[in-house]
Amino acid sequence: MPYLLLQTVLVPLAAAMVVMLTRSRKGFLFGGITIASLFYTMVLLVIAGFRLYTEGHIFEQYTLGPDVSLNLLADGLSLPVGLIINLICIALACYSLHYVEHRIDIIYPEADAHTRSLYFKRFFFLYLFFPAGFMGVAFSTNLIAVYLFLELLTIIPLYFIMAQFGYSDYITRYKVALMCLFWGVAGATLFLIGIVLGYTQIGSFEIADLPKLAGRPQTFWVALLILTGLATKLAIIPLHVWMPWVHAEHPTCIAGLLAIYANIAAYVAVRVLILPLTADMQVFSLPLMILAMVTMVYGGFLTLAQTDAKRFCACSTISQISYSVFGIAAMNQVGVQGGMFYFLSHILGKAILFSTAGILVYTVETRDMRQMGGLWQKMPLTAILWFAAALILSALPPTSGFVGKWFFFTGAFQKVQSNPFGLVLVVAAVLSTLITLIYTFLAGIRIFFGPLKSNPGDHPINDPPLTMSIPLFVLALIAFALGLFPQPILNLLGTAVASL
Amino acid sequence: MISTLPPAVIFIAGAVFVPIFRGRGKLLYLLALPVIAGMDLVYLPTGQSSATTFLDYSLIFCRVDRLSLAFGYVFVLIAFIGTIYSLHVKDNLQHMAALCYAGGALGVTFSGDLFSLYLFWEIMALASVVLLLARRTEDSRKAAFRYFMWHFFGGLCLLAGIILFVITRGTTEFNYIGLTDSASLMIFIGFCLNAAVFPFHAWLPDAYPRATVTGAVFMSALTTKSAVYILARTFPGNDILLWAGAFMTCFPIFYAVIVNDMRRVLAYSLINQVGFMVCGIGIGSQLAINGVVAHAFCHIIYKALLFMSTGAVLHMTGKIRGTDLGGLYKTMPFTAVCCMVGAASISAFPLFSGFVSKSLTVAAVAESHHVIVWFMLLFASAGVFHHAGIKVPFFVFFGHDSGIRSKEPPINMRIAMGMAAFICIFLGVYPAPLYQILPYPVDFHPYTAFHVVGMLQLLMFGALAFTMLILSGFYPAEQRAVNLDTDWFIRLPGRAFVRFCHKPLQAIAEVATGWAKSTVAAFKSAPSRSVEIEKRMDWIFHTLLVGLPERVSQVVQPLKTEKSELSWNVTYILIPFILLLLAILFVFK
Repeated sequence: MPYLLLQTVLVPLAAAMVVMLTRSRKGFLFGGITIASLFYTMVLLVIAGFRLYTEGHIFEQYTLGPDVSLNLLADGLSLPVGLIINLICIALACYSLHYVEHRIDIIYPEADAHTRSLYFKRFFFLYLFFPAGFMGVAFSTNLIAVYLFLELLTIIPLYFIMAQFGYSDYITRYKVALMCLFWGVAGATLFLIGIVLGYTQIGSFEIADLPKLAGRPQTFWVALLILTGLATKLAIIPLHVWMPWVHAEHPTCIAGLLAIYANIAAYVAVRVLILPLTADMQVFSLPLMILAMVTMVYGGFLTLAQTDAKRFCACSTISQISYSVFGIAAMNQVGVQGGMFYFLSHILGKAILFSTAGILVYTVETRDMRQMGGLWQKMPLTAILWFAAALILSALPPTSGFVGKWFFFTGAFQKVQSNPFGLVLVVAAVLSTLITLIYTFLAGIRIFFGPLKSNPGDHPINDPPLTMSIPLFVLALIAFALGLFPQPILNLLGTAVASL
Repeated sequence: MISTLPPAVIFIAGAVFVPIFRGRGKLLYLLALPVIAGMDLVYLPTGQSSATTFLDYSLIFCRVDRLSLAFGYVFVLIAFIGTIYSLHVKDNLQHMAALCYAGGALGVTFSGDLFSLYLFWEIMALASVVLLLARRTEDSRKAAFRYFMWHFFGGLCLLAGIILFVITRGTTEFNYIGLTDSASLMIFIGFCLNAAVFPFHAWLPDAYPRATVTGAVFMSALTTKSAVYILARTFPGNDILLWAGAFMTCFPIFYAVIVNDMRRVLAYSLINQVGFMVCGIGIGSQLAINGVVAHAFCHIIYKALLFMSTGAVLHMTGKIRGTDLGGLYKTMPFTAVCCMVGAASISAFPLFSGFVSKSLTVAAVAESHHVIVWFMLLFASAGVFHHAGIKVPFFVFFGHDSGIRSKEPPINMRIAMGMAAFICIFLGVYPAPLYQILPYPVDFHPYTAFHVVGMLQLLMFGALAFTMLILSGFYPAEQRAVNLDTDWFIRLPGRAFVRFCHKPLQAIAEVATGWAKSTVAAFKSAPSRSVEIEKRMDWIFHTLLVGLPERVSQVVQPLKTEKSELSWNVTYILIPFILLLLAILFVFK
């Protein structure tokens, strides 16, 4: 099938145009267009996956000018990433159908039917930039293209969706949107400076040419700049301060996508730094592991202190992203495989957790978890989803999180086996994963068990509509399936990191 | 690989699901488990199956031969009867513990290697501790603790023996061990503790009277008999067992005679009866082992019957001391009859099951010409007739009228007692089914004139003695006394040892608690400290950094930059140029 990967990037953009140009009173139509286009790209990605098993990798080159061409590469590393992200985009698009309606009711209550459908149109137009951006980041082989798609993700969906549909009042919404924009741009700018510095050395922006940088003195600065830029996106201490705000105040329907946006920088780190420049990156290995461990523990304790349901998930994201960073920082085969697998598991689990928190906020009409209690009787499905997400994020068998964690801790142990300080570090990291277990289950027990607390609103408390809960169940099933049968994805990842 | 299902798994896995069921469903489920285990038992293939490997050692969960099958049948049977007896219990914990206990006993019976043996051994110990604790009185809690200490000690000896065994012999599989080296000695001690061999017997009369009414039925059957089985397999023909067993039959009689708590009497008689079995193991001939197995089979049933009937009395009246009871036959005739059937069986009356089984052992002793042991066993038979055969039914149901008019126990208890009584009489009259499951071919006819007349002589003269003692007033109903047993050597010094260690251990405990408290406090305050740190970092980035241009403009604002201030302007330009020159000269080489 020609133009396979190009379609995965362009079809969401084309669908965004279609959404913009369609006139309809029914907001759900725009959602339907979104979901249909994403199903189409998912089929494409599955076909690409099958082709990978026979051909090894898929490389498409599209020349746009004498010196400029857009190249897309699907190999063992990028295809699982792209596929899982696409699945989450579909699930969250279904979830958004009702959720956006609820947000519009709250923020723009005086809007008439026509204006409401305009808001729906706006939302889904912006939403489609997410999958386009993610696919672009995953499949691009050109550093400028990666930068382009990263900025595309920051500017168009993150800023505008926050400004139009976020929480808090008008002024604060825009302030938080600006904060998100500035931090995202700051990180991407550092990334850009790094890759331009690299260009001055080797004269090319292609990732395939990056190994030529190996061994030079400036490569340290290139790597440092790119790493700092990515660390801003990955919310590693001390560059994490934007995450609690942004994730908490964004509308919950895309909060799962924000977790992907942050965590995909881990994929970029592997693709741009660790695979091409392994020897030069060794100097960053231990400091990065230390920072990741500090972030893990700090993020975990911060989450324990949270009472706001959405901020709770946001701080949890800080801690969870650093697990994949910890694995990647080990910079050996098993560690990177584990780090990438945990990234996939984390985005699945976090999408479910955030969305479940959104359902709670939507139904009980308060964000304060202390006012929620005994909801099991009224919302059993939601409770099951929360605890499924808790299992996935706490990395208990038989979920995918357990497989990922097993692998990246093995890689980390392999890395530090000669270094006693390193051993202490890794053991502390293993213990800190206990904190995740505590906060997810404790919060779940407090919200769903115990005496039923009277809700402040007069909204009757029920399970959410099926379009909100079924996609999340599908995601949970995928996470459990990956936990029981991780071999296909692990094999794909293994072929990509074989050079380490 | 695991191909057959060990019956232990059915019980233990089944125990997990007990809380799910309610009402009638739970009763059916509880009854179904022994039935399913029994069916599984019948279809188990002989030889070794259900084996896996674990770290180079093989784990064999199903070693089936005639010896283990015989014990397996009786354990499943008593689990079934005991479950019927305990159907009225509402406490799920007791049901789960009893099922795990039965599962552990079956696991011990069928294990073919030492690791799985140890696993099931400990499961049995834990489950029986839970059964003791389930009574929920202060007295039983302390007894449970002492029981746990005893069995923990035994378990440690066993573990030490197993480890030494595996190290010296390189395999975990066992069949006959024999007392040769320190490994086998430790294993022997571990097994003997569970079989209540002197001097490791003190836990039995200490704990069994304090168990729950239904728990005692299970406890009487499982721990000691599984130990008997394992001794029969691993140490048959051991002379120590011969003499220890003979001694075990004699000394409990004295205690049982003076004890008031009827279930403690039964506990001592349990040691007495197990002594017969241990003695038979000590002889080790085919007839002796047959006797051990037959005796174990029948003993489980009639001892359970005795515990069931006295337990029924305890359940209905709340009393179990002989001085408080008496005259209950008027309102509890069925229970009284069952108790008498059990008493007759334990005394080896002809036409009851005890007769066809105990005589095998005694005949084996006679055949191997151990004259002194034979006399001891004879004395013990008379003794057991006295304290269990006469004393228990007489003082509980007959004797002086205590005025208690309690009703018959609930129907499930009666059914269970009826079943056990039926089996006692059935096997006594028609012992062929019993003899068919014995491990070695049986050429023994219990109903010969010699055996019957001999037994009747013993029993009738014993009855005569008892009657004369009662009539002469020389033998009071009960005596209030304190029983000194070997655990005196452990409890009193134990208390002194604890007092001795109190001060230094207390000091260490305080230091450790201090550390633990400060660690916990650190963890507890960590979330709020993280929130503080987060606020600070947030402030640095979003307030301080954002405010920098303001500050810079505040600094720059008062500078003189108008056209008229030429000298100031030149100065402002010269400063950065000089800095740049310095930088080029010294930093960028």
